Amino acid sequence: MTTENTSLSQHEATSLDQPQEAQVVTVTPPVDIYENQDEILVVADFPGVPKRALSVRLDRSELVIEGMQAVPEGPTPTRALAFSRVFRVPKTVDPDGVSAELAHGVLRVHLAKSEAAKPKRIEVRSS
Amino acid sequence: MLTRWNELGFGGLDRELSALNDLRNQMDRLFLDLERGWGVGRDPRAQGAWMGASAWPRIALYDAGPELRLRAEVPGVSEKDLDISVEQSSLTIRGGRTTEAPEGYSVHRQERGSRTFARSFTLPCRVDAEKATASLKDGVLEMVLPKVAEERPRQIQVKVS
Repeated sequence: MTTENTSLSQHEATSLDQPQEAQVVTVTPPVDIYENQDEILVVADFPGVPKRALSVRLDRSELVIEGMQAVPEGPTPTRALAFSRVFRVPKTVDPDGVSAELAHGVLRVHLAKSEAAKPKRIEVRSS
Repeated sequence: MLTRWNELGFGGLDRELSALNDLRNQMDRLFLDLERGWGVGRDPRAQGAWMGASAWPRIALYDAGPELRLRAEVPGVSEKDLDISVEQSSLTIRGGRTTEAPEGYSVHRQERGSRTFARSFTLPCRVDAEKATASLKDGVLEMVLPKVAEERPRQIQVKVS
């Protein structure tokens, strides 16, 4: 019983002592998803996110896009937003064929399809 | 339509994550609306700063002492698509973007949408429109509107007699 009490008070002390972390609001950015014969294209709104605060990764069959807004200097009422979204991508995507570009606060991720997944044109031979 | 997605292999996304994502989106927006639009946030300066929280783009206009500052999140809008004007104590921002499917691509999902907007603000004080600046970076429009001299805050010295 005594032991329990001690551990409880210790626990409380720890939680009180820890500085309160600045609360980050995480939002789901709206996306467009397109596809053609060669690739799947994911387009997402990432306003105010600089390139260095952006993360695009393909983990097994999951595409994770994340970004953190840069906070303007000086007195400001704006709080930085964190953008985050996860997609399951089909196995036809080539893990080495992923590229991304960022322009005007819009992220575009190109997921190239593996050669095997691309449609093949079959020549019809006339005899 | 659903079958088509499944065949194309993006079925996992649509079946499992779609509903969850939509709900999360709505919740996020709700909380943001509360926090930014209605000033429930921890930072007292945030109160009422984000206006029309459900509107697009999200815009914050705030008083930074000698100047007014505006921040608008306009992803996908280029500078040539923005039209900003100041008249007396009224500020108007117009703009838009188009988000069409690139040629030769089929559409799986379109949440971003093409947008056109026109927002007008009655400024709380007179500003020097000649010295106003606007810059666009990473899809965020930042404006600095210097107040006219007589509107700026002044320090008053207390004399000891």
